[in-house]
Amino acid sequence: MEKPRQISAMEAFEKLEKVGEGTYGKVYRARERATGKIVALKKTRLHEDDEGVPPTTLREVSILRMLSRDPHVVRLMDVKQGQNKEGKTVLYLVFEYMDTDLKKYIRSFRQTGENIPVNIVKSLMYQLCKGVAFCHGHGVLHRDLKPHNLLMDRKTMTLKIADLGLARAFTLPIKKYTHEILTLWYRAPEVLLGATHYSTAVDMWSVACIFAELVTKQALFPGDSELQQLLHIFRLLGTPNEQVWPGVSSLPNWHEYPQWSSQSLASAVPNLDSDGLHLLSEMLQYDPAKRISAKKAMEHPYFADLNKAYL
Amino acid sequence: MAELENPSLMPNLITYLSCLLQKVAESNDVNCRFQPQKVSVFHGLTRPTISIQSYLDRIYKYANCSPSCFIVAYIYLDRFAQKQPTLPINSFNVHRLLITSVMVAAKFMDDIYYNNAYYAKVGGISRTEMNYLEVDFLFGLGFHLNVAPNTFHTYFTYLQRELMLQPPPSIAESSLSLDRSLKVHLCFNEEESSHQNQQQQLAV
Repeated sequence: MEKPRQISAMEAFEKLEKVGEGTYGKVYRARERATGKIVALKKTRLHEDDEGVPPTTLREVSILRMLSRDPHVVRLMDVKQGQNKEGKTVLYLVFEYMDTDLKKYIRSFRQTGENIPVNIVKSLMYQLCKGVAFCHGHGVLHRDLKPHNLLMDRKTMTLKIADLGLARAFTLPIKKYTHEILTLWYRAPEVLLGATHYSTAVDMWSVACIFAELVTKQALFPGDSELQQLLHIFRLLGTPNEQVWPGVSSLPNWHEYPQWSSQSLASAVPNLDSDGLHLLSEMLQYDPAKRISAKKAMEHPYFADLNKAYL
Repeated sequence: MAELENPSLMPNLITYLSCLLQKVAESNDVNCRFQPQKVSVFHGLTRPTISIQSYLDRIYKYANCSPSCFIVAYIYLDRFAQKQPTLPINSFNVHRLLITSVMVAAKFMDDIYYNNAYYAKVGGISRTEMNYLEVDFLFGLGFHLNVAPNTFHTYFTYLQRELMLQPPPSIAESSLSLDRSLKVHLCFNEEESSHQNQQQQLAV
């Protein structure tokens, strides 16, 4: 993270192609001239407005600085300061290059109509739980886990957690958390209901939704508004009440909702064995306090027959 | 950290931090006559006329960030001093370092915070300068923004104890010898050492 004095980011890397575009700038596949190594360059514009360094960049860099050594968290190799054509300051985040993400991977199976092999689902889920356990163990909530943010290497079937722009350290006292987090489909019910002091359990809800999606190739709760999102959840898991989730009715966005009773998970997620369904149900507990942790999930019987030696 | 909610704590803490930084800056002003120093973007051409106390009071009044941000900002200043030994805190840079560290702390910690343009107004500098200061501060810290709970606790307990012991002006004097900078004054070896070690260090 040295501030470059002699060599500019543009001299150090050759841009090969644009591979993505985020809120604050473009992502390129690039070659490091000195080593020939292929990297992902995430370019962040600065000084263009009143905001300065985007808070997402600020958090992502400082959090990856401590989490990047985990094999299941994307590796941030360097941060460089440079200038764009107009002479404005830009930051380049240099990441290891991964060739695909879980969203694209799932889509490729949806297109052919095949299922993702059972052992692959298991391996990906284990790696996801391991990466999430590592983040949580270091006091970091990801808050935006979704297939698009999980990078993959097709050859090795390695999964890595990326896009920690919304992540935050959860251990220090702050005024209140925003609920403007997370893509709707993977958002936990406590966040939808307006809880301002949520915990690691919000990430486990997202993990559950990703688990089901790996099996069915369809989003588990594809809501298009906050209310629709809640109703999707209630229709499958039953409308929560004080018995299953103490305190639910005092959450800020709680209203009288239509009463549904819970459906069987097996009908919503066919092709998942009983161990898998049990793990999924543990991850979809309404009460955040009862929701299984990433660490505990790794020890679940569902993963018993998985060869974990290389994961 | 329920103590942070105590309404009388923060003003006292702000006063204490101001006095501490003033002592550090003044002692380094004396030192810098004898030692070569880098001139950074934080270095004003003249000594700002507003006192550190009034400046920090102003930040506290307008930033409206979580109280923890001031502890975190203080930790950042300490880290900055450790990582940039050629840039000691002095009367020419302390104001800019302060506004930048509080802003960065709020941006990192809080989900709801004011933008750089607002902090520039609070700090009495231009937006462009605020943006430059931010980038240099981040690189100066090596983007080391995360504060582990036990690190936070160590600093917080230390500050609380100092606050309880005696009124602010004299403490800084008693615990800070003139040839020491902030980094020596409060050099917790945070990442590697356990909480226990930190307490031992504190006891020394």
